[in-house]
Amino acid sequence: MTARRGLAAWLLVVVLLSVAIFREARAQVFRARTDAVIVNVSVRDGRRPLTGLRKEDFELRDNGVVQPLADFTTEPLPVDVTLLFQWGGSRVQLDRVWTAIQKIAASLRPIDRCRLVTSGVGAVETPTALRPPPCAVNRAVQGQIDAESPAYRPFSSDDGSIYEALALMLAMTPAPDRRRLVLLITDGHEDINSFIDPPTVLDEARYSDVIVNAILAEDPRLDPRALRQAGHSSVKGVVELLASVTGGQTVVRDSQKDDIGQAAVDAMLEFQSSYVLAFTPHDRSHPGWHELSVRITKVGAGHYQLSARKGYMSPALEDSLFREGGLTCVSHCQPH
Amino acid sequence: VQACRRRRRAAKVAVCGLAALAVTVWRAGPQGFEAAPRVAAGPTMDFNRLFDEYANEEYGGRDQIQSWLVQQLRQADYPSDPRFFQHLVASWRQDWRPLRATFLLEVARAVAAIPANPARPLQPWTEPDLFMSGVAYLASRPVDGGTRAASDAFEMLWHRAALGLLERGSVWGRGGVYDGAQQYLDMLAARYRAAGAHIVDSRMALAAAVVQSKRCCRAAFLAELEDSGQDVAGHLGVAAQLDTAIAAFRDVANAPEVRQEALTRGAFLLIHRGKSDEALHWLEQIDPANPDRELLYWANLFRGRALDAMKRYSDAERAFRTALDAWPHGESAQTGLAADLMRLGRGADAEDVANDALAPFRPLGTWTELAVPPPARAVLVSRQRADPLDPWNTYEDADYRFVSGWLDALREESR
Repeated sequence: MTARRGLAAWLLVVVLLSVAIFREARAQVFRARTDAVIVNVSVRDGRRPLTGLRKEDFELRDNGVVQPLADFTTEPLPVDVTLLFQWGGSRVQLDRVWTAIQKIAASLRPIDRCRLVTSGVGAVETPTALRPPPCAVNRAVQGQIDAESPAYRPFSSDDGSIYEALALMLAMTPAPDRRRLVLLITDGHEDINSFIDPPTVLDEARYSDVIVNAILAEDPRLDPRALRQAGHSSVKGVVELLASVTGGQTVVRDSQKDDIGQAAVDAMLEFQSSYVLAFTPHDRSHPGWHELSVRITKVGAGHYQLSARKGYMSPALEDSLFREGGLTCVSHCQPH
Repeated sequence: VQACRRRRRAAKVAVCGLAALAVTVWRAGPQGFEAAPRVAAGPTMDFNRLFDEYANEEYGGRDQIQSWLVQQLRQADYPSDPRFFQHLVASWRQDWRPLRATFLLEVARAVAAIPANPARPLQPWTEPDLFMSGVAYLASRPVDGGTRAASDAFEMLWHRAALGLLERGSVWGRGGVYDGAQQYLDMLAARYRAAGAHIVDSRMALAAAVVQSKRCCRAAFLAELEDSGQDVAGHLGVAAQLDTAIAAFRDVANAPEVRQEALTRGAFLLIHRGKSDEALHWLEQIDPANPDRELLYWANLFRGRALDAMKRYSDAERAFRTALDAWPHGESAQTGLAADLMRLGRGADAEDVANDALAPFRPLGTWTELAVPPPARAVLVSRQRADPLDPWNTYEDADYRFVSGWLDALREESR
């Protein structure tokens, strides 16, 4: 009975995501140029994502200089989302992980694409959304499904490191007409034996257009000292910093009480409803790190909470393909 | 009255505490083992029968020994006597055979390869009892013509293999990283001292430095990971610990047999110490023609890391590519390379490397054969990529990578 339910659930996901991929072919084309800087801006009014803002409501500064807005579209951009599950110190609750995957898959729009990467739980890499979830590998171990099927592609061993997984994900440049989100769900612990260190990941994030949203599913029953003794370090500080640098957010939940799947869906929906600004820098004389600041100029917007990337790396002048341009609001902006 | 009650309560607490302490000491036994024996629920393993089958090579080919032993060990409970192996080897002394000493190591390796099963937990005392009994058995071997020199090579190889197993970190020393290896080294040093001798084996000396580095640098790595790149050397006491460990590797590097590995391991610590330029100097002494591919991979991996720390991303890219020449598709080198390519503004190349790191894996073995001990995380590991594991994953296990070969040599010499 359980196996049938599992199969039915799996088929449901397959159907949903097949429809998603079919519809993707009809997705609209993003008009931003490849030399544009893309800035994802999430705006919240309290706990609620705020929609309906217009391009005139935003002010974006590049190294303190206001950038002009030139063009916009109201079409939402397609999202390539990578679901990155990482469990380091606590026991994996496969049922919860599976439920979370189902919920996230159901929340995807037809134009979105999905990739699943797990780390520290036996690790399965799924190039498309049609790959099975990690618990399928568990069933393979138990002999319930064909373990030799090419569908099962472990990303790494149980030694999988969250920092290595993130470093690889940050290297995946989004296509010009799409956005790329890494939705990290982690218990907040990392095996100490990681080659890639946090500074490398944080530094790489400054060069990447990928946005990281993190859900820290903490188990309050775990003794941090015991975890450290067992060789697990806390990733909380690094993950919060990483999300902040990329313009994402970090949500902390109780893995024993809270609905982690729902938290992931909420994060996904908020990302889908966020604004995308693009501009072509006028000042090409300062290669290196450019600090960005975004604010809403609308009267009474002081209490809104904004999340946006903190800056971007500008290539050296000789490598620059920059041309004249302006600020573009390309997603969820209302027409004049 | 209240004072009287307080005194009575205090007396009760003291009595309870003493009782608990007494029980703990009684359970720990003379060897200081931690857990109490469990009453066996199923058939008890007959190790004499198992040894006879092993001696008769009923396991099939050499490559099947571990899986055969794992299979045998899973079919029965361990004896509930926490000093079982001590009694067993005592009964073997009349007919001393080197193959029995080798057999104990084979059993220890197989025990470590069996994932914990909550329904049939392994006896936590099994591993230390196995190793200590093996040492006692070695010490009881008959003197050969008035001298033990003829057997010394066998004994040292046995200790190397035992230490290699303990360096895996997952056996015996569950209480802390390399606890078992440290205890083993301490015990061995005490035994040699008592006999008026000292250990003269360069690999054992390297192992001692590795154990020292792992234990003292634990705080450094944790601080580094959790403080997102603060200067580790700035942490109180950490710099001194790193310096001590680096000095140990510098000393060991005087032995030609282990010089290259000592330099590589020392260089890694120098990077953590914030001395990347000195680390590069150490790594320059690694022979690029060294036949040890794992060592070459580590050396170039660390070279890339040191160059990254110095913001020399183009040089770091070359170092990571050299590491991949030594060990194609090594995940750590691929990840470092992808990060460097991003920082060099070559996003498309970075994505190619990242995609290659995520390329389809091919079947290699089962999770049992992979000997991954943590149950919660091992349960999903059904397959591995066709390439052997990224050597970074075996770096921490130190000489464990040689154990299989050493056991083959011991077996050969035993027959």
